[in-house]
This record gives sequence, structure tokens and C-alpha cells, in this order.
Amino acid sequence: MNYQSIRAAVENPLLTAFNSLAPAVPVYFDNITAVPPNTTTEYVRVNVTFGITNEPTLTSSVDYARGAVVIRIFTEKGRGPARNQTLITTAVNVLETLNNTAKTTTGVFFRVGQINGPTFSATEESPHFMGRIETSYTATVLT
Amino acid sequence: MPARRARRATSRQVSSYKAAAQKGIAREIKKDVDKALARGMQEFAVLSMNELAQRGPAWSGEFSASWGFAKEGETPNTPGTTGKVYKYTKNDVPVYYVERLIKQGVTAFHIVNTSDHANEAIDGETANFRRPGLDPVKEQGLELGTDRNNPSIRFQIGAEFNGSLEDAPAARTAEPDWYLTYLLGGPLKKDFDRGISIGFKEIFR
Repeated sequence: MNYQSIRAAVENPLLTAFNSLAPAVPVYFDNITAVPPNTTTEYVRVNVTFGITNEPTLTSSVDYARGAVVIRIFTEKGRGPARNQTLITTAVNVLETLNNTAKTTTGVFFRVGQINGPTFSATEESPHFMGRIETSYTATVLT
Repeated sequence: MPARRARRATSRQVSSYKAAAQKGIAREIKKDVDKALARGMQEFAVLSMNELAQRGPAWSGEFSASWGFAKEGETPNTPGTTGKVYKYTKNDVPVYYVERLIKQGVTAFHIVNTSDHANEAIDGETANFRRPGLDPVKEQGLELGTDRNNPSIRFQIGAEFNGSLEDAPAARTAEPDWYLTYLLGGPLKKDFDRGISIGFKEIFR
């Protein structure tokens, strides 16, 4: 199982999309610790998790995984939801583009399920307004 | 003694007997299906709550013991004990309770966590986290980190810390987004399939 290629299939397009914005918005993935502490700077946190690997399927593929993608968008608190929602739209567009990408003979065939959210929250202590979307995914590593 | 002559049933009587028999059979089948469903739901709920307790964070054990099964909109009674990762059994979801709800026509159930800090524990909110002054009851999955910049999400503990739990500036006992992984990533569906399949196999074996 090539977990790294599955992770890259979703992380790379998200990174590209947020880096292409003006100004670019930093994206933090799993095990990246440089999230700015107590700052009002906006940023995105992406978490790709694996739920089940190689469950029996009707296909003969054994390199098959299911999991979840959770995207959290942090923007400045007290400035309304507009900016947060704009960034969420960027993330949703990336996920939808992944679903519209045709299957190839090599690489990773990645499909996301229904996108839940966005849900928004702002706690008293936090300098950020947080928007979150999450979705399931299935990925097959093609050889 | 004159022999009694059997009366031949009219065609109307025959169809009426048939209908009654069919109704009786249908009633029996429905009863069995309801029983299988109740047993399947019970099995699923126990499997699921144990999986949630195992996957979720556990320092005192209270959160792990605060899962409960009820009809949608109702708050379940939960064990709420501390000192260990709680192990759910069929006694926590009595089958007669599920059967009664199904008989009442209830079609929506939920599994909820009733602890005060549930939303923070499932990584739903940022909060100010502090290390409890005790070793976690859950040793498996314990990860040590270099920093905790509050307010934070439960799993944000910085880089990996190589040292003892006592010296670690931060720690967590469950993976990031463990709850959403269970919910969306396949394990919930697996537990549901397994639970319902056990229920039906038991009744229709």
C-alpha cells in the first residue's frame, strides 16, 4: 500500500490552490508543527486520515483505502465569515475537481464522498474564526 | 352411527383461510425481522461504542464511559465511570429496550457522548487544554509533543517529544480527527454491517 501517494493525491492540489491565491495562504498538514501560535494570521490545516485498508471488494485491487479528509480554515475573528467562506470555496473546488478527474491507468484514483459542512466556530479564547469541512474518500493505487 | 360427511369448503372460504394464513405468516416474519433488527442494533451499538471508547482520548476514562445509545432526541444514561477505558457490554444497550422502540415505530437512533467536554474531545472546537495531573488510563496511542500553544485543537501538541510523559510539554491519547475517521473513513459502516449481520444470523439461523 502506498499511503504516501494517496496522501499526495489530495494534499498537492490543495497546497497548489492555496499557494496560488494572492496573498498565498499557508497550509499545514499532519505532523507539520509550524502553525503560528496566537496569531491572527489566516491559515489552513488539512488532515488526511486512513480508516480502512484493503477491505474485501468486488474488484481484485488490493491497494485500496478509505478514510477522511478534514479541512480547517482559520481566519481573523470578529471580521465576519466572508473571508473564511471564500477560502472554504477554494477547498471545495479542489475536492470537486478531484472527483471530476478521469481515471488513468497509473497513479491514484481518488474520489471524495459527500462534503459535510461548512461548520463555523469561534471560541472566546481563540483569535481565530474557524470554518471546517470534512468528507470521506476512497483511493485506489493503480499500477 | 352415521359417518359424518366432510363438508367441502367453498372457494370463498378457501381464499379466506389462505388470506388468514398469509397474514399469520407475515405477522410471524415481521416479529422475527423486528427481533433480528433489535438484536442487530444492540450488537452494532456495543461494537461502535467500544470502538469509539478505544479510539478516543482517555485520561481519566470519563469520556470513554460517556457513550450511550438512545432514540434520536433522547439523552441516554451512560456509565460515566473513571479509572479505565470503559468496556461496553450488551447490558449497556438492553435488547428489550431496542425491541420496545422498534415496536413503537421508532426509526432513528443515535449514539452520543454526554460528557461536558465531548466537542473538544472529538476535535470539534479549539479550547485551552491543560495536562491533567495524572497518567492517562489509556496507554496505547499515547503520543508526546513539544508544545501546546493554547487555544488549540486537542491534537495540536507540536513535534514528537523524545522523553518521559512527566517531562513532555504536551501529550495526546488519540489520533488527530479520530472521530471523523471512524465516522467517515469506513470503520462505522463496518461495525454497522457486522452488528446487523450478527442479529439476522442469530434469529434466522
